[in-house]
Amino acid sequence: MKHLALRNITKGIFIIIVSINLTPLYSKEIVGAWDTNIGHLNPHLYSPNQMYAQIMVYEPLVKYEDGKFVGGIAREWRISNDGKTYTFKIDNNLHFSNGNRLDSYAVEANFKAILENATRHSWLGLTDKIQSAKAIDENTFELKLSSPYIATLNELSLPRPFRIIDPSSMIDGSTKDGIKSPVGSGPWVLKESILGIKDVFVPNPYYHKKSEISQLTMKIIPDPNSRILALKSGGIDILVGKDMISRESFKILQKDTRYTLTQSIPQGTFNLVINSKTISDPNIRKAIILTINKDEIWDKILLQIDKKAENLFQRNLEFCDVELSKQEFNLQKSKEVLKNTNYKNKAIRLVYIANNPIQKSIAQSIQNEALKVGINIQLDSSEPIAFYQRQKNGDFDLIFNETWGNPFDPHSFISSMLIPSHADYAAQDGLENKDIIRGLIKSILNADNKDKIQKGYKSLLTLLNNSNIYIPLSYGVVLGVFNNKKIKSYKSGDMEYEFRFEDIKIR
Amino acid sequence: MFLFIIRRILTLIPILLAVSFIVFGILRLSPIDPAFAYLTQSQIPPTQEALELTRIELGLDKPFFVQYGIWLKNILSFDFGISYVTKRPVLDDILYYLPTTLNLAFLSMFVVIIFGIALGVLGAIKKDSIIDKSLGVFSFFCVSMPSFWFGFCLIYVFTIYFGILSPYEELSLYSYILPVTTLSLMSLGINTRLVRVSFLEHKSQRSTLYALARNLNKSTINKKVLYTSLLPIVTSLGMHFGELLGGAVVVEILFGLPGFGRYAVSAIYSHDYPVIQAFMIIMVLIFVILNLMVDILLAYLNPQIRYQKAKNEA
Repeated sequence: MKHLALRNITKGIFIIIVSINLTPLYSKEIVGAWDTNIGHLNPHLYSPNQMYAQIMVYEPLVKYEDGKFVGGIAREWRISNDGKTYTFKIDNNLHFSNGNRLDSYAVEANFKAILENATRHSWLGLTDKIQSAKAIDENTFELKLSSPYIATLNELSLPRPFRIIDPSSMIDGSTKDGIKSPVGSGPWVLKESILGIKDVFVPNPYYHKKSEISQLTMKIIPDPNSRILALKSGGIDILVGKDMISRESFKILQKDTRYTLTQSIPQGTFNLVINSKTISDPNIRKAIILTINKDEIWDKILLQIDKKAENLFQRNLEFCDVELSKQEFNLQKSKEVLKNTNYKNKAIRLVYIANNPIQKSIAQSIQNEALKVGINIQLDSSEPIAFYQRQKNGDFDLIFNETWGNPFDPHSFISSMLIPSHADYAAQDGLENKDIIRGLIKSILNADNKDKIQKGYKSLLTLLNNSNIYIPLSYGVVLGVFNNKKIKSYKSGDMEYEFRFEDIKIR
Repeated sequence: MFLFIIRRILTLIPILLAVSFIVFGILRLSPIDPAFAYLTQSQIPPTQEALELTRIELGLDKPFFVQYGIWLKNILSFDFGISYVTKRPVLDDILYYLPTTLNLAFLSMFVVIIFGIALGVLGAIKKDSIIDKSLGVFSFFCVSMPSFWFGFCLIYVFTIYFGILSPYEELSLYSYILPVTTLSLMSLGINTRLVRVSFLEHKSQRSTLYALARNLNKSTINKKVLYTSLLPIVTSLGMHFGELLGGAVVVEILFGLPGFGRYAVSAIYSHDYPVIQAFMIIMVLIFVILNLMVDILLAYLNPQIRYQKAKNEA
């Protein structure tokens, strides 16, 4: 008994000494905030797993950076001439955060687990196309597709499901029912997660780049105003994320020298969609478009934060640099166009998310301008889930929409236009040339030749632009703010949920 | 008295059963498909295939009465199911989040009782004085100030301006100071006025005037008046506890506290049926238990009520 007590005391003293020695003299801890906990952090599954944390902990085969694909776990890759075989060379010096080797056999085990649950990932074109995924040797991994698929690299680089976990963390070689622990090869390791309070990450000691931060804590603060107050009170040092900061707060903080504001590269396109089934006359659609004062909306409501949009996809995206006719604001012309239609003051329902002040203000502005030419726009507010359900069911005349951003745009997004699950499908469903549009999308996705793809995109984007169903408003950005006292620099990632905390320079 | 308590407890069973059916039925009347809600939340395109798979996964493919029967059978053994969103057992989540909300409500109740009675009696004793008038203004302020706005003001003053009492730190007794002040504000205002009026009413009763005429000790009379005037306050406090539990939602969101209200609001937002159902049942249970406790307490404090109950039972 005495021995046991003595042993416990000695053990306790040892732990204290070790922890004192391991504690850095100057703790470089950074605190951020998010609205919910990260969940189980399974790399291959969806809610409650938070995408930003999946990106932090797990790596993909290829990464999306500056509009290009660069090496992730794969140092380099080769695509066969027929576009059906992808051969990846795995970096031979990679380890998971627990020290286990990351080789192509680990990648194969992950693909096996992902494909075992393929129905869950059926929304991704790639899942359906993968014929085999196997390790050729320790450093070579081969992916064989049933037919060429242009969005292969795009979908491999997504936050989920094609990210790699240590196979020893899987349950019986599978991840569909959960994982033992979140062990990846990304820059961060999950240290602890306290429900409703915080998630704590520490740098992965095996990651190729050394982080200046010793610990990153993400506090759980659901209210956007409370997050700003927490930042101002010094309770948090950095705030990033699409809906983490309101535009008004961003503008106010811009004047405060204690903080630095950041913006990501443009992500998806914020736009309005007109339903061609309920407003079948293209001239009525044209008349509506002519009443929309995009400049005023961008200036007064979007507060000039993100870039004004002209096209459905940004022109700097691959294959999207296509010259399209511009939409203009011209009330007189709108009146003339409307004269040649059979429009009889029928109410046109513009659906927006009730608790979204930006959408509400834009809707009111559109209603006001349209009234000047005699178009009766009726504002129709919906709670968020009901809003998306209405998008899917085509239960709208006009509705707000957004493209999916990097690296989904343009390939994965046009692929989604083929499935009756989004506003785009519903909006295009009444078009006379919808079969031509759908045929074009299919041919682009399965093409193995760049010229063919470019030609296909030119025709597709022109057809969509001329159909008068899309009204692009802005290319959205992810906003961020940090406290200058603690942080010297931070740069947003290229994807919406990619926050490169590991690159933060601190004071 | 014992029989009265047993009878009251037994009446809870049909109430809870009816509530369970209404809650379950009303949620199913919603035009929102919870499978769609889950997919939207997970940012998975809601294809027909994905929707069907999710419905099977969430047990929504079964007929309504089968779903209700399974759910009812499970809740009798305190199994509230698995949250659609967090994928955790709802009971585990409730046991984790509920204590914070109860702490918040009980601490606020404590503040309301202590300060409400003290200020109410002070106002009554100093009737029409400057103190009484100031307390009137104070009560008016408490009742008319929206709690979310007051909470923001408190955070601004104590956290940003003075740099003390940061609400977004680890959960400790300190982290409850600002939320409890915010939450108790409205009930404090109401109860201060209620105690004052009740105290003055009982003070002007004949029995009190007679006691004064007999030249009895003034503090003894005041104690007696306070005791009798507290009877309506007990009923009011019972109702206020429910109000505090409801109000805790705003306070928890504002101060980032991991409470049951915040958990329920996010479940409502994401149409997480198992959590909403459990939340409703537990709230109803809390309310009926509170009512029962108030009734018992009143019967204990007031011999007249006790006598009436005994007569009814006979």
